[in-house]
Amino acid sequence: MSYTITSKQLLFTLISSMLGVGILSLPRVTAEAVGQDAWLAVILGGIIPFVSIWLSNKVVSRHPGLSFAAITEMLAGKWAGKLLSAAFVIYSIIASAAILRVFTEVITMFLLPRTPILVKIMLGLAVSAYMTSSGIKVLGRLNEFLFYVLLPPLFLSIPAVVKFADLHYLMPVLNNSLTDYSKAAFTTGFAYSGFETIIVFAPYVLKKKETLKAAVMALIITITIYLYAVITTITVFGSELTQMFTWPALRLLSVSEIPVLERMEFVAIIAWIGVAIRPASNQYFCAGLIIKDVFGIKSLSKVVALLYPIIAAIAWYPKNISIAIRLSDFVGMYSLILGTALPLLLLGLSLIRGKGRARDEKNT
Amino acid sequence: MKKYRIALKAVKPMSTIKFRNKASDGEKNADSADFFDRTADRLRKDLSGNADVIIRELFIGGNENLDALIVYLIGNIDKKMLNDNVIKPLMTCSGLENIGLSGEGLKEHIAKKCLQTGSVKYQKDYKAALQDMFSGEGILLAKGIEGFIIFAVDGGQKRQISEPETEKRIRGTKEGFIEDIWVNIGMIREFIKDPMLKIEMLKIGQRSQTDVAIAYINGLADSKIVDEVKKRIKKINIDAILSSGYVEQYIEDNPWSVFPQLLGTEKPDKAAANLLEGKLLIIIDRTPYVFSAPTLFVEFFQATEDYYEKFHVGIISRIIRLIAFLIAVLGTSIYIALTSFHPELIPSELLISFARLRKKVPFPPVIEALIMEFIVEVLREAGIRLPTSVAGTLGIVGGIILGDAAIRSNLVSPAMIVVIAITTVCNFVLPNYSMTLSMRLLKFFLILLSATFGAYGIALGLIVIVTHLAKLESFSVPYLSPYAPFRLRDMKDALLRLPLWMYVKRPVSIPHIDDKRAVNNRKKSGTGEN
Amino acid sequence: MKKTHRYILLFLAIIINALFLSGCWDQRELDELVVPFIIGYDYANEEEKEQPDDRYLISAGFPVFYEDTLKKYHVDITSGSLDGEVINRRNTHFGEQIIQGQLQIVVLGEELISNENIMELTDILSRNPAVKGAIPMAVSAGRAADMLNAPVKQYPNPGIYIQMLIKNIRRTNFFPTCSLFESNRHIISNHTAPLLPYIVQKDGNIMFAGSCLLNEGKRIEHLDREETEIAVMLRGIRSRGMITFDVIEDNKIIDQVTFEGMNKRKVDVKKDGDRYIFNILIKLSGRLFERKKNEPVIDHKDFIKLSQKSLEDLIRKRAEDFVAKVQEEYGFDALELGMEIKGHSREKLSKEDIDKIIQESEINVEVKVQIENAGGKI
Repeated sequence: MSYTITSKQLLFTLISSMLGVGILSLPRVTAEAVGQDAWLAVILGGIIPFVSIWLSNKVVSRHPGLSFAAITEMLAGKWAGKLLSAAFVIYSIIASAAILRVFTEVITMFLLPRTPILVKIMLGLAVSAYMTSSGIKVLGRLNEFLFYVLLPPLFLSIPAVVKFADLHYLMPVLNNSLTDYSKAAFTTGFAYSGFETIIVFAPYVLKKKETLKAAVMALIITITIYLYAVITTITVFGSELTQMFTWPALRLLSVSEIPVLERMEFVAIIAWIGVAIRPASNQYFCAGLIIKDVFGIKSLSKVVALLYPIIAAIAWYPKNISIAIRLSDFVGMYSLILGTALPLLLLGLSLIRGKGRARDEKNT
Repeated sequence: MKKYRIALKAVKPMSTIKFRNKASDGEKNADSADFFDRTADRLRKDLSGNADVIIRELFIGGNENLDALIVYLIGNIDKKMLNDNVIKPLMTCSGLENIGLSGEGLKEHIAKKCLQTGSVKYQKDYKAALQDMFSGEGILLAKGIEGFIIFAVDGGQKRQISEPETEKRIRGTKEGFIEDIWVNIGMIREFIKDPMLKIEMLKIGQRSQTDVAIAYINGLADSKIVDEVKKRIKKINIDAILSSGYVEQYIEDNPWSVFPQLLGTEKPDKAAANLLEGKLLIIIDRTPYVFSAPTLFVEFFQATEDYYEKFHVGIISRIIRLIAFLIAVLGTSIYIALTSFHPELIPSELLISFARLRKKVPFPPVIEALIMEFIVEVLREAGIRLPTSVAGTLGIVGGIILGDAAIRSNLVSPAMIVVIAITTVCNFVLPNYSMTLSMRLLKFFLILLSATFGAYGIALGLIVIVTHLAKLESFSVPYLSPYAPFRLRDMKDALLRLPLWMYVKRPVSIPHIDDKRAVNNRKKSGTGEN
Repeated sequence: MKKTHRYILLFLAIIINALFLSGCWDQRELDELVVPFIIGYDYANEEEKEQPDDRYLISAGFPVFYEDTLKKYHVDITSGSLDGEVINRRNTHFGEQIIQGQLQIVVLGEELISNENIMELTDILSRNPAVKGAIPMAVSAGRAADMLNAPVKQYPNPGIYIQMLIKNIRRTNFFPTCSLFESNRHIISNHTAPLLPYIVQKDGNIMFAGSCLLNEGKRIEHLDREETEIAVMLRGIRSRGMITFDVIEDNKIIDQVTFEGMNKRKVDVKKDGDRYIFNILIKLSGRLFERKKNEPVIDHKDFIKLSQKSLEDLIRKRAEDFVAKVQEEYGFDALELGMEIKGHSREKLSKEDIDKIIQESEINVEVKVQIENAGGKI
């Protein structure tokens, strides 16, 4: 492999892929499902991604040096492998478009109400394309750097809202039926969508042994951040009121009164632009990389340019916000299915066919 | 001498230069006396138009059979040294009768017993010898010797070592580099007396034949980077190198980027510090600016004064510089975005006063900002070229009276003037001048974005800038280290300036071979008792 | 290769031009805005209605940006059948755009709030993401429009006056403030009645005259000063204020004292079969502010204990009266016990359930006063 990323960069790339637009509506979704036990739902939702990460890592470690497209072709034969890769590519394209669209909706609501949606989408996608066409090394560095830069504002909002928080809103615990919890775990799993990209990024890690540890760490950190968001929202608003707001996490920031920056939430939105554009870029990159590998195209920028109008069109397609949210849910479900079924299938084939190591044949 | 020849071969052959009418490589020599006459005629003919070339005929040792010619440039040599150490001993040279009048013996005798200069070379090639003469050395052509003897009588008027204008020190050395490359190299050697410090010379530029030196500490600098730098410099194929800026633009990784990729300095202590971290120095004749490669983004925020004072000052200075950088780049665009797109973000009392002031101004904030920026840029450009006496008065006129009158005539609002003034002042906080130019370009980029898309535009613009920085590599070292591939060990220097005794190892971000830099004696012996 | 590069650049240039030159859609001039700082809701009288089926009258107070106008602060009154229609009509009064993001106070007319649900009235504010959730709300005696137009003496306009009042009241008196999101939270999540401050206007002064309880978003009654203070202490709204009381020893009044301090509450919930038992502990801590009698007491430590006990008795009595009133007269949760109940029970409770529980349960009040110091004089 000519390009590599460190395991720490894999960690941050995974976190960035998962932590995107889901965090804003997560308190509402979990409160609707299980009320005050939303935090439990968040933890339960992490089970399926955890299994998927473990499976993906297993598959990748059995075939070191092979990219995702190469693994599928090797295990499932030429055409079936290409079909599997195509399934992943379609998912990545739709996911990138859905993330971009929801992100644009939030921007529309808060910052730029009158600019046409297409213009905002094209701008955001252009920046995303620039990030993507720089290659995996730069993407890894960016994910890491932006994570460090944008994380402190998240924690600085704590003192402002903690005086309104009341732990009674989290009680009583475990008040719902088992079906409620499993349904909640399933819907919360949508918020973690992005974990399946590990199967594309993992082959490029420099030190192979640390991949699993990094991926699990990434999942744990994401769960922690989600827990933080959900718990602060519910302790301040109460589970019923949380269900009333479209994006409760943002409404939370408008509750506090800070002397200088009167409106914390706008500053948070501006910082959040940097947070939300990363999963769009990561998914865009996965799609571009797989297409590049499958068709053997030399330059990544050409593929990126080719995908640009496709993703822009899909992102522009929903006519209003409820369709956009439904698109996002569809992506979430697709991610859960793809994230478990695909590695399982590949692992099964790999166990049957035996380990294959990449030597000189697949040299990208 | 051997290195000379190899370097010359890398450059295009000089057969196109005009004064070589009878250009032919490798003259096969005829008789020696023939050689002398022929060459002397040829010299006189080739150098006929030059008034500053002196051809001095003399007899070596007073022997009328030993005709000799000395050719030199009158403006570039030390006349006293020429008279005392070359002409006088040559004319009074003794012991020639025993040797004979030709051949190697004569050459050896003249070179080793008669010429009293510091360096003596033999050169057979006519063109090369002529080139040496034009480079400031003297050539001796004697009957009986096939070839030239070249001796160094360097002189000419040089600038005194003085403090450079742009980098002033309170506590460090006040010397700065001058134009002569040998003096500069000498200054560096005075800081690092290590025999492992290697200086390699190249000559770049067809017509200028400028000396370019690459300095590095052998066993410290990464050999791959040394090879890469040398390769790139050798590839330069240009008429003349008039300044180090030319070299920089040819060997940078990404010439399209607005960020400088080589760190220039005029001070020997900073140059020496860079060498000690494992970097290379590129020193160019005729320019007091010395470059170091590879370069990181954080280095433009570091000043050597930070290291000479107590570390508390260093930490605060770094933080102030970072904040000032952000203000200078973002200040105007945030103001435009707030007043044009997001009035809800402004605190309410400020909103009322801003709105009242803006009521009187006819232009939208963008136009105001661009007008003000233009005026500031014009003042700056004009200020560079003004003589100092006029500059002071013009500063007062431009700054105070013009600004005041502009406010009163309601051409610009006072808030805008405050914003522009603060951003302009913050622009010059960085210790390195090249970065301030990049900051101005970034500022304009962000202003345009914020004028069309408000805060969304600023956020996207920042992301584009960060992506660009992450993509940039200086000689295959990532430009944003130690931030982008996060290196915790380097944070001691990159983010803050921790005490010197904590810098035990060299920074990871710059590839190097030997890791240990110092030993932390404070840890062993408790607090510094000495 | 060169040709493709050229085409790509051309394409990019067209795109960029199209983006940037087609206009900045969202740009608005700062001075061409109308920024209301204070809003008042009322019923519309017959003569104020522009159309026959108008219902509401919304007054907005905002600063004027032009320099040579008569007034620096202007109140605009518009009527409409729904809030949105009012805003629509109001836009025809101005040449400028109205932005709601800088709203600071909402004042509700007393008559209006007795008949309409506050959630419906302020829906437009909750829905607009630019409006901050921490806007304080107040109920005005009489009409809100009169309050906004009141001639005030020492402040530039009533908007600023009310804003300063509400901002500071919790630091100087045991009075409540309630913000938009807090009222939403009380009604939806807690099934409790929010407590809104009540302001009147008299002789060029605007002042607090008590508070109002809103059951199901509608005003029930206004509580006077004493009851407001007790309600604040019972509900646990943290504030700092002063109480003047008589020091009683052996049923004899020996002195009068002013106490200044902060309040806190702690609620203990127990279930006895089907019945709930609440133990509310009110903690007051502060200092002795003033004493009427000027003679030094021989053992002043006892005096402080005596004052503490007198105050405790006084507050407890008032609190128990108020609790009885809540349970018998009101019948809904006025004590912010809703969230404790919901946190405690495993069933999903609706508002009626909580009302019933409040009526039937046993509520005990305990008061503890701690006077930490007595100032510089003995």
